[in-house]
Amino acid sequence: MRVSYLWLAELAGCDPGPERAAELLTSLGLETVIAEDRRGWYEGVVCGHVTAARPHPNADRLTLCEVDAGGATKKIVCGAPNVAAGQDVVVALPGAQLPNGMKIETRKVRGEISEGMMCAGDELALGGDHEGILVLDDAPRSGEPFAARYPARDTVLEVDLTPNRGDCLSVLGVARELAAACGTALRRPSADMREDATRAADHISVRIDAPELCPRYAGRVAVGLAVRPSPLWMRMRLHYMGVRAINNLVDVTNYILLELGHPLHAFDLERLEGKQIIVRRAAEGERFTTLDGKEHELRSADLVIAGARRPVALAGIMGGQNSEVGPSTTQVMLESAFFDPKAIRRTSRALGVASESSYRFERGRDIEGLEYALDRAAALMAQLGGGRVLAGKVDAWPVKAPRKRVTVRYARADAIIGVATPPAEVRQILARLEMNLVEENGESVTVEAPSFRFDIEREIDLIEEIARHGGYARIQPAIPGIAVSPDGLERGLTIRREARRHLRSLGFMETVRYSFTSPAALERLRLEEGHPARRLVKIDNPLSSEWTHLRSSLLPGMLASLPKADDALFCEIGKTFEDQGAGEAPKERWIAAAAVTETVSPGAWSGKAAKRDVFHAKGAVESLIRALGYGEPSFAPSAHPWHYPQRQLDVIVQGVTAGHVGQIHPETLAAWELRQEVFAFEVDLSALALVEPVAAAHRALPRFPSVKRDLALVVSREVTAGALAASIRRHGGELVRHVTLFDVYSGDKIAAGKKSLAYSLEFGRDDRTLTDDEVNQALERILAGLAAGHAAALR
Amino acid sequence: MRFRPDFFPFTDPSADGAITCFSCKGAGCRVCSETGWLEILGAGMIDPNVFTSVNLDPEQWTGFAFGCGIERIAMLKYGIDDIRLLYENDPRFLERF
Repeated sequence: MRVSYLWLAELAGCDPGPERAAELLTSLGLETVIAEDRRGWYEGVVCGHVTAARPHPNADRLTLCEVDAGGATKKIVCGAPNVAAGQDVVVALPGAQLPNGMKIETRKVRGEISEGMMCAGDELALGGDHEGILVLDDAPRSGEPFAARYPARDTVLEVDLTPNRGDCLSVLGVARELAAACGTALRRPSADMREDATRAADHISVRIDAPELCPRYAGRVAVGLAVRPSPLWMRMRLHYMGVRAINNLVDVTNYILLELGHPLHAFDLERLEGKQIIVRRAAEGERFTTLDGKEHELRSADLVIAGARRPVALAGIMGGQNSEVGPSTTQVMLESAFFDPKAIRRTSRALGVASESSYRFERGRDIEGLEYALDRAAALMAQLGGGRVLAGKVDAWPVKAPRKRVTVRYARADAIIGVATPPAEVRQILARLEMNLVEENGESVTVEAPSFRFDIEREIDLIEEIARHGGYARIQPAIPGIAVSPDGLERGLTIRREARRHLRSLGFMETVRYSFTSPAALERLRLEEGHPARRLVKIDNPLSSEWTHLRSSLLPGMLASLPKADDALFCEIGKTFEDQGAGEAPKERWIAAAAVTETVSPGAWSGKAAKRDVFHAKGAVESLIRALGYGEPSFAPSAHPWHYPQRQLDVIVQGVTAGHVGQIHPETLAAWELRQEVFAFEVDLSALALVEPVAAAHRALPRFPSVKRDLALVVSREVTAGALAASIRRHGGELVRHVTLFDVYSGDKIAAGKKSLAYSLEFGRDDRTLTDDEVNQALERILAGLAAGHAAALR
Repeated sequence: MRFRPDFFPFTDPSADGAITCFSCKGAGCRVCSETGWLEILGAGMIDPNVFTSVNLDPEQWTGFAFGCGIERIAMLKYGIDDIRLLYENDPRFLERF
């Protein structure tokens, strides 16, 4: 929010300077920076009076003027169409520099001397168009410096408010904090006025039909008004705060909104049907056109301000064209009300209409203070419009809720903040924030929260105020004691570290992705109905329509970031989430995932680079499992839909299925526009962390020689090499030292549907040399077992 | 380093920890949204409601909570001037680490 520093200082009753004010506010939790610094501007810019104006002899559109700029009459050539003798204007004298950098000098314009320039609003950085020069309407003294008469050398602060501080959405709200910091008394602007003899209640009546959405509605009537531009000082302040000036009546409501934070609305009283205000729910399907020209279809959840029959405003959000204040308006009914924040938010979202007003009502307004805002606005409107305020106001406030009472114990505040605040200081801080003292007993103090503070409900809220205004700087840095376990770090943490380090050392680059995904990713992975990875956790308030859920797999993110056709080895250590149904926390798992591209960067000196295949990924998994201390993993056939059939395996560590590895399915590749084969694995580190690592132990080296035999086996194609090797070990017993697959063949030399696998077997004993017979017997047992278990035959 | 009041839903009172912007040394630039400060840490005393929601008595328990944005610290350490680079996973970026 933009805030004029001069305005702020005026209400806060202190003038620490913009820099110090920004520091103070920031130290109170209202982060403030200087957005625009106008100090030092307007040197050589003065008020002047046009004493004579006549056409330029050599140019149609120029005027030769004589301007009294205090002490001297200046000849000035002016190009503005609106210039005329008798006007009070702003003159930039020779030597002056305008905010836009323009330097003013005496020069000749089409043969006529010009000793300065009369300025338009935009040339003074005061907004407005470039239609004509600024004409002053408050009879300044000629030669009076412009910046001395008007609040021109201001500084605009940008205050970044936290969502709990809706009460600071105004100059007064920020000033209250600044005054408390400076120890000065807040200066509330005057709402004094002389009321007319006629009573407002004779001109207008108010009825609230939906008190649950509008607990209070007040109004005043001003008559005899003339619509004209607001005075310059007001237009300047509006401009600094980012609001465009329109006319005096509309500007007053905006000015009060900025100053006091309470949104007001001005209705043209003569256009108000039946001279009555009914605050009611809209009829279902009722139509209404807002000020911006858009027509809306309303529902009964929407609150409207209506005349006798038709709505005249969307309550708290935007007025209607049918009662809008226009150039001919002379009578105004000013509204100052309190609307339910949730109802305003609902209607604003549903209709897609938002305004400075709805923004504030959504954050809760001051139900008591709305009266002051109404009085001040009415007084200002009558003053600027040359009219009168009728006596009294209409004010419907059926149920007055008492202010919240909150108690804070001094000892509790000290314990939470960690620094003692003397009770007298506690009471002073709370008093400066307009919390009325109800009771004090030496140990605690009870206060009434002001009606504009929606964030003060509990003791801790008061402690926060004491901490803020007591100053965070008082809190001394201290390192808390930390209990260190001699067991070292927990396995869940170390296993992630080890996995990361090992994959990096294998040449993988580590990627980081957001934990979000969308259901579309599940289709790309070709997941069938009921697959556990389909149980996505939905995000209540997603940041984007692409990221609506928490990811259940790292693969989509990995495949999305992988180069489409270039070499890459990517790994990621990240979490997955699986929904466990209502009321249950999602299942979270740490996963190590990796992807390997088929493409290898060329450039190896030894010749053409080969392509990678699925065994590259499988080798990386084996290496990872070994590095994590689990020995050799085993593998089992798997059927994950994102992998190519028959080119994928589950990774099994000591009987626990801990992941998968395989070649990505062509349809999944195509979904991410990958133009190369990709091989990937995921290893569930959360599951592995529960598996006991294999303890390394020394075993005596074999002193007796091994006996080697080769076996070529013909089996059906579905039989896996791993299953055969396991069978060989099982039937061979402890004599088998090593089993190594050294050849795979399928082709026309063996029967269709079959393949040949050749293994090298190594037999031995630790206590003596084996005899041929012992080896032959073992081989027979093995072959019998292979024949029975896998229908394997010797080739 | 700056330590000032802030607002978070699960702590009360809350604090914001910021460091002088490494890119502009506090003068204000694109990296720090012209403020001269980089907010790298949110902290505060755990809100009593949080204790109540897990059946702990807030009269007996108090706690200090804090969380650091590791991206900002990584930017500071490695001189990265655009936070988005950290999540784009461009191999030319990744290979430097």
